[in-house]
Amino acid sequence: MKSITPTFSYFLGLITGRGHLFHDSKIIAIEFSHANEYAEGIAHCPVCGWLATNNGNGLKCKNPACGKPVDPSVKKTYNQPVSTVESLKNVIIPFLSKEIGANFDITGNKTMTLLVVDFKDYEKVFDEVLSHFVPDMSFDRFHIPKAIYEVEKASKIEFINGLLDTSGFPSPGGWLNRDGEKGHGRMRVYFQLVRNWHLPVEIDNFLRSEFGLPIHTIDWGHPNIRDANLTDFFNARPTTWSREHQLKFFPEYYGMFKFRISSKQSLFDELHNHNVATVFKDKDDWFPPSKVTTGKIKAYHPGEQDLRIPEPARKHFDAFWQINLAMGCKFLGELQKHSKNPEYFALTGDSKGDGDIDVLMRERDAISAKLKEEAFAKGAEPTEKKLRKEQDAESVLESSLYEPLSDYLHEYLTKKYEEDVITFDTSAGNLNLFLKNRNPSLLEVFDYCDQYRIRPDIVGFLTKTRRIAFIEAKITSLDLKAIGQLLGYCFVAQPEEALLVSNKPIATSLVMILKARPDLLEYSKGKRIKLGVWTGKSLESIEI
Amino acid sequence: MEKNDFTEKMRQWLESFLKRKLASTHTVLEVLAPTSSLAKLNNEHIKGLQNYSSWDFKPDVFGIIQDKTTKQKEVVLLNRSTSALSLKEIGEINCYARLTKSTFVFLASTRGLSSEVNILLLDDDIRKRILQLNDGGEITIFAWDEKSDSINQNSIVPFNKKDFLLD
Repeated sequence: MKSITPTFSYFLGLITGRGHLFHDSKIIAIEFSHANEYAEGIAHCPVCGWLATNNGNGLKCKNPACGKPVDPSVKKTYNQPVSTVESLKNVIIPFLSKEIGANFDITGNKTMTLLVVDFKDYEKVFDEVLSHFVPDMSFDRFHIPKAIYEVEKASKIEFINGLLDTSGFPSPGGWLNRDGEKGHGRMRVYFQLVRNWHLPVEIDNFLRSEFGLPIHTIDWGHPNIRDANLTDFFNARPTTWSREHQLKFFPEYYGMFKFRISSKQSLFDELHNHNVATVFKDKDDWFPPSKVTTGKIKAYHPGEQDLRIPEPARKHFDAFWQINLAMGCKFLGELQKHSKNPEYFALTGDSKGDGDIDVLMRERDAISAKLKEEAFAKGAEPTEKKLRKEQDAESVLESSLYEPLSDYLHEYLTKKYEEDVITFDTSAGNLNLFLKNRNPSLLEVFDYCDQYRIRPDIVGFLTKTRRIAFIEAKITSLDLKAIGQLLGYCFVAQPEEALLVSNKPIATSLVMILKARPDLLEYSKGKRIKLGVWTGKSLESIEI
Repeated sequence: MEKNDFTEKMRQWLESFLKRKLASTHTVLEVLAPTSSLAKLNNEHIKGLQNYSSWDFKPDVFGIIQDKTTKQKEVVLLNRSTSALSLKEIGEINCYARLTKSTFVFLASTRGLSSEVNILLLDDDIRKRILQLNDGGEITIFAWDEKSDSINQNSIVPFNKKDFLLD
């Protein structure tokens, strides 16, 4: 294997953070997630320079000696999708292209940008990339490639840079309630690791052993950590704990790394500069772990045995570091190995302490069970359910799309085929019955439709050439289920055109699937379902 | 029958069917009723399958079998419904089957096929287009008889799958 350059390391970092490997189609898709279109920077008081935060009545300076209201316009705003696409086009793709032979393509929407790297003409390079992740195929399973531990420091830094661009998130919202020498509030950046239970500890240990860097905490997507009081459980959100894991760190120690996504780098700089100016002396590293005293025992949670949790962590925990230990943290492992009583250490975090483990476990079990009972007795208002009902009531009815889409189809077919076109909303019943009951003269022309007991929402009839076209409308984001439904109609009727349209943006995950498997849209030789988003006035087609 | 009860019944049926039918050629690794989309399940067998991360859908029952000779892992899908099956359900599982390149694909309902689809499937060309998969596989549809707690022998489509399903 050839030596790993900084550029290649960066690419491996991107993939480790959010990559999908498609063996058959020789494609690697990398997600750049930006849940919110706009990200805001820090608000500093223009009078004294201290941090200003929202106390429910607008921004207010945190300085007790100042406390003035602060105008939100002091915050910088970053358009994340725009900066991501620009950074990919102008910085990341040119940087990668210097060494990595492949075709690069960008797609996405307001919540995610996807970098699609096509290796069809560069199979050797693809195989080399694959060799670092075998047998895993997606970021929810990837480990830090073994080779990364052996490369020179510049390449290790680039690997982390790649990880940061895909899974690193600098956000002022994650500030910690700490007093500095010259202000308040300590900013944190985090790695967001989705469904991958190895990487949080691997990244922690890598940063610690290779660079000697502190980590503030790992916020595990585990019920005992995310929903310790069972609040979400009783608010009709029993599995919200199963979101991503977050590994949080203070930016002032991480100046050697850089984001190539410009909005992320600008935010990182803001956070970094704030912490440097505020002056924090304590490293606030989670290691060595804090002791689990009786007051820190957590309630038993019904989700502790959930199958989404891997076996080593599918149990009760009272502290996040106990999950680190269960997931193989080598620093904790060493500490445990040299502790007076390893079992006692695992339960308490006390490396010098000792005691009867059975007694200790019984005590803790009683506290956890009591806390669970209290939580169940207290219950919670099903506010979320109410909220969802209200949102449903506000939803646009699918039927409201039929008329404008029928007009659209008429115009589209007339322009494209230059012949007479008739379009109908046929959603109420089967196509054959619609023609029989509502338009028998048309059925005489399109007699083959007599056997079509199908109900697409809108049908267009090209009267001269006796061809038909369908539109299936949705008010939810398009998914495989919707594609399957329209495929069913198309397999039967073999229309000239078939369009699947939603008034919601298409999920990037679906775009990714279809980029790798465009054949899923095929219903007849050379004929594919087309996808589009209805904006209210026009149809934006989605190119696959 | 409640949907969840029917799902569990179909899971058990599929597991026992695969073990009996494929005893000489395959090992049945797992048959489960997924609680979330396949891409999100923390399951060792699924994560060993190619392209699983793009499987952003939740079949009612999902099986993984392994060829005893080649050691290749293969996928089995089953969707169930407590109402009559329409083209919507068939198209949906067709899409899932093509994405996963499934070896066996079943669609079961306590109410069988809707009469309109039953008639459509009598047409050879239409039936092939709807049920046949790109790599030679085929979707098998059947009704589950709640009284006898078994497959309704007269409901199996395509007809040539009767022997395969019933003996």
